[in-house]
Order: sequence, then structure tokens, then C-alpha cells
Amino acid sequence: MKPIEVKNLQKTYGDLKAVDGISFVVNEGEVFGLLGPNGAGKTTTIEILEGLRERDGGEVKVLGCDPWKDGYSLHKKIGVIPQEFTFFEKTSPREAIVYYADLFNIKVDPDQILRDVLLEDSAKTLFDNLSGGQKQKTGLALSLVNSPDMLFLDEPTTGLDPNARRAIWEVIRSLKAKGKTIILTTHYLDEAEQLSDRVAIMNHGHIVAMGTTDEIISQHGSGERLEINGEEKLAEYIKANTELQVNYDTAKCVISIPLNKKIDALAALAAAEQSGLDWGEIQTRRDSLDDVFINLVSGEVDEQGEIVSEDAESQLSRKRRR
Amino acid sequence: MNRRNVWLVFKKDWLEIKRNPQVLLPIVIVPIIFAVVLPAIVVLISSTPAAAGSSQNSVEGFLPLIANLPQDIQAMLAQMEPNQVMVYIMAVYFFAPFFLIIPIMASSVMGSDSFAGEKERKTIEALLATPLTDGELLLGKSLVSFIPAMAVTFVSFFVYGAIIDVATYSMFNGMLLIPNAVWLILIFGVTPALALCSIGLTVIISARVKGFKEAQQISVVLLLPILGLLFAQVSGLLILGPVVLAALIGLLVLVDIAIFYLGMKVFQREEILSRQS
Ligand SMILES: Nc1ncnc2c1ncn2[C@@H]1O[C@H](COP(=O)(O)OP(=O)(O)OP(=O)(O)O)[C@@H](O)[C@H]1O
Ligand SMILES: [Mg+2]
Repeated sequence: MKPIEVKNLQKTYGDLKAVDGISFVVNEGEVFGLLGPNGAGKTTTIEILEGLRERDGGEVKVLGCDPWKDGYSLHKKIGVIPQEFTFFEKTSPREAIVYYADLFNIKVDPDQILRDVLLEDSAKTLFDNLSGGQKQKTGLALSLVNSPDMLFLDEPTTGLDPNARRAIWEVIRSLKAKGKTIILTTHYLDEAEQLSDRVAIMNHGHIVAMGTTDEIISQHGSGERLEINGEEKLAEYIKANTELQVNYDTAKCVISIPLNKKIDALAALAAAEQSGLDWGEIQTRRDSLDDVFINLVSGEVDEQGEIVSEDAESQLSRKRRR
Repeated sequence: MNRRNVWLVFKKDWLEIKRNPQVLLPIVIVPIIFAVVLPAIVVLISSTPAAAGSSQNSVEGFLPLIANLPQDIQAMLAQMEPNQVMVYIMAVYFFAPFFLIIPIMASSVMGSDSFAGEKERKTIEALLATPLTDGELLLGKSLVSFIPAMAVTFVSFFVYGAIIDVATYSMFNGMLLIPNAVWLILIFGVTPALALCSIGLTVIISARVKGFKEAQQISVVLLLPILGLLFAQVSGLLILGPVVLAALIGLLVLVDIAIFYLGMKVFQREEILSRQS
């Protein structure tokens, strides 16, 4: 039995199918990333797994429990950071930990937990006065109070500066090293890539791709290609004089040639040289998770009617900040 | 329902409120005004014998009320100077409904902060993934409104009674106006039932509004029936006697049960979570 098993999970709000029949499993000790634009259904999914929302259909098992029916006993075994975590304003991280331990009716060493999340310096600062990163660390600390083997982190680094994000990453890595199973949602591709063993990309309540980032890239992305900066004339010349498939991006003035064999690159460059035309930078490239993500979720209209277009990620992060 | 958990919820909210003077201030100030300013009016009247004539006039305003008082009290009033009648009516009857405002106001201010406020600040979400049940959260948070509301109500009653008694002691030749049966029923019977009603409504309102300001504004509606009582009494329509108060308590208990039943339906984790921004 896997720690998390989800089959054909569904959740509707009124007419909106927020989660529309998704299935996945999470393996023990794995960091599983749920990636997707705003409104994809990440939080809904994760809240169902935490036992905070009732599902409308499908099967869910978390640590062998039905999270909705056995919610209270499940809560003793998992750790949770809700999206946009906040705590009581006039409470310090240390007090918050002690309070949480009371709720779980257990004894903990608050200072050890504070050290684990790199927060010992702000132990006594009131929550109100903490920085964004320190607030998220407080959330991490609270999620660790009951020493859970499984953690749900809903956008743990959204809105943090790069240093604060890296600090959170460090904590998450150390938790993974301790063998904890972690379900993480994020808008940030680099975060998913850096931290997750496996990723599921969600869009409009569906999982549109799942696997390790390499698997996703090879399944949904193009393979290696040669890119040459040059004029369209050059692209036409190469096309005419080789067997190669040649694409031209007029906006960027980039000639792009898929490489079925490495040796194709040589043929392309030889033709370019022969042409006598000028050409600039050359490089070989393959699709990054970025490219794949944008292909998978782009060109669609999101719930506000905005087009999630080529620059999807920056648009997303802009929307979040509003 | 685990009593320890209810207590923990209560303790946390209470500590938080104690560090937030903005919430506590109004629920302390208004009762002080009622407990001190209302008796001051009585003292003023009782200490101006020259105004006996005007007292006579003012008493006329209370005639419908007096006419509907129990026979023995009417007989007693008939023996008194107009000045004394005036003081008696004001201190014992006219001001009584004001003390129903205190528990309503205090509990709805505290309740709005604890329910709508925490929803707005999203702090309540941090508690949902703990072993706390919805019922424990609801009860613990309700107590955070109930206990302080009762405390200020009782304290202001004692202060009011003490000032009235001291100020009117010689005027009534040692007769203590307060407490009497009506006041005791009112303070220890009606106000708790009323506070619960106001808390239950605040829970329901809080689930529907965005923030605690809105919740507080809507809660003001609860004061209307109290103003109704005030006018009903002055016009002699309804005198707050033991029977009326007992009926009122019975009615409020029924309303409380209905409202808390609804409140429990509304106060569920999925509802609390709903984040339609
Ligand atoms: N309580 C609710 N009632 C109605 N609709 C809701 C509710 N919660 C979420 N939704 C809608 O369901 C969809 C999925 O929301 P969800 O919060 O799961 O997305 P998400 O992937 O977590 O998005 P984000 O990146 O913005 O956090 C959205 O269109 C959202 O507006
Ligand atoms: Mg979300």
C-alpha cells in the first residue's frame, strides 16, 4: 500500500469542476510536486487529502485512512501548511509551537523544532512582526510539531524573496533526507524541479502530465535541437541542401533544427558554411520543464477570461501578487 | 467533545484578545458608561428637591408605565413624593433594558472578532488540520465571547446597584432599591440567554460576511428588540416583571437552541475554508 492513493478524484463547486477525475499515487519518502496555474485545483486536491474537504467522487486513501471520515485521527499523523499560512498576530513562533503541542497533547522541544526550520533567531518575535520567510518557517515548524511522516505544503514559498525561498528549500530538503513523504504545491517550475522526485502538472482540474521532470520533458517536450541565429534565407538554404527538418522563428530570427542523430548538427553547420551567408550564435537545446509547462497549459483561457499565453509563468506570478 | 480542547481554544483566543486592546476597549467602556452615567442621572434628580415641580411633570411621562405596575408597587408609589417616584421608576424600571444592551454588545464585538475576524485573518485555518473538532472550535470560541460578556454585565450591574443604593439610601430611609427579584432575574437569567443568542447569530453572520467590521455592523440589528422593550415599557405596553422575564428567558432559550443548531451547520471546516476572494 502506498501512503497516498487517489483514484478518479472529483470535486465540484456549484457548476465548476475544480477537480475533474484525477488519479495518482505518492510513494513513501518521496517529494511529490503539484504544479499548475491559478485555479488548477491544487489546493482543492490537497485539502481533500488533508481531510478538510469532502470529495464528490472517486477514492482517496491517505496513510490507509479515508481522510474525510477519519480526519481527526489522520490529523495526528500528518503535518500541514495551508496556502497563505498565517497565525495569531500576537503570538511568537515559540508560543505557537507550544500551543500546537498542547493541541496534539504531546511534549516537544520547541527549540529543537525552531532549529530544524532555521528559526531560532526569531523564536520570540510576535508573528505580526516576522518577515514573510519567517512566517512560512513558522508554518513549517507547526507542521512538524506532531513529528508527522507526511507533510502537505501548499505553496510554501509564494511571495518570498530568492534567499528566503532557498532557505525554505533547504529545510524541505532536510525533511526529505529524514525520510518524510512530502506533497508540495507550487507555481514555480524551478522549485518543482529542485525539490520534487515526481511532479504532476494540473490544469483545469486535470492532471496533464506526470512523472519525474525528465520523463515529463521527454514525453511532452521536443528532443534535442540545434539553434542558429540567422536570416530566413539561411534557413531556406539549409532546408534545400540537406535532408533536415528546418523551422524558422521570424520573431527571434532563430533557425531551429531537430537533431534525430548528433551528426545532423554537422550536416546543418556544413550547409550553413557553404551558403556563404552570415550566421550568429549556435547552440543545442532541449525543452526545459518551463517550455513543456507552457505548452501544456498555454493558449487556454483561464477563469478570469485571461489568456494564459507564452509568458505564462510571469503572468501567473503577477496575478498572484494582486 | 473534549473539554481540554475547548479550553485550549478558549485560552488561545483570549490571550490573543488580551493583547489586542482595540477589541477589549469598547466592551469595557460602554458598560462603564451605563454603570456610572445612568446612576449619575438618578443622583442628579434625587439631589434637586427644588425641582419637585418638574419631577411632577416628568412623572407624568411615566404614568402609563406606573398604571401597569403590580398593585403593591402602585400602592407604595402612592405614598411617595414625586421626586422619589421619579427616582424609583428610573432606577428600578426605566434603566433595566439598558443592561440588556451590554451582553449583546459585548458578545457580538468579541464574537465578530473571534469568528469573522479570524476567518478574515485566516488564522482559523491553521487550527483545522489539528485534532480539534469543529464542535470544540465552535464551543471554545463561543466561550471567548460569552465569559467576558457575562463578566462585564455582572460587574456593571454590581457597580450600578451599589451607586444607586448609596445615592438613594437616605432618600428612601434605608430601603435598598436594587437588587430586587426583577433585576436578579434580568441579570442572571435573561442576559446569559441573550448573550448566547447574540453569539449564535454572530457565528451565522460571520460565515456569510468578509470581515469582522461587517459582522459587527450587522449585529447592531440585535439591539432593535431591546429598544422595542424600552419603549414598550415606557408606554406601559409591557412591564418587565418576573412573569414577563420568565417568558422572555423561555423564548430566548428556544431561540438559542435553534440558532446554535444553525450555527453548528454553518460552522464546518469546509465552510470555514471557503476562499472565494
Ligand atoms: N470554496 C470554494 N467555492 C467555490 N469555488 C471554489 C472554492 N474554492 C476554490 N474554488 C474554485 O475552484 C478552482 C480551483 O481552486 P484551487 O484553490 O483548488 O486552485 P489552485 O490550483 O490551488 O489555485 P492557486 O494557485 O490560485 O492557489 C478555482 O477556480 C477556484 O476559484
Ligand atoms: Mg492553491
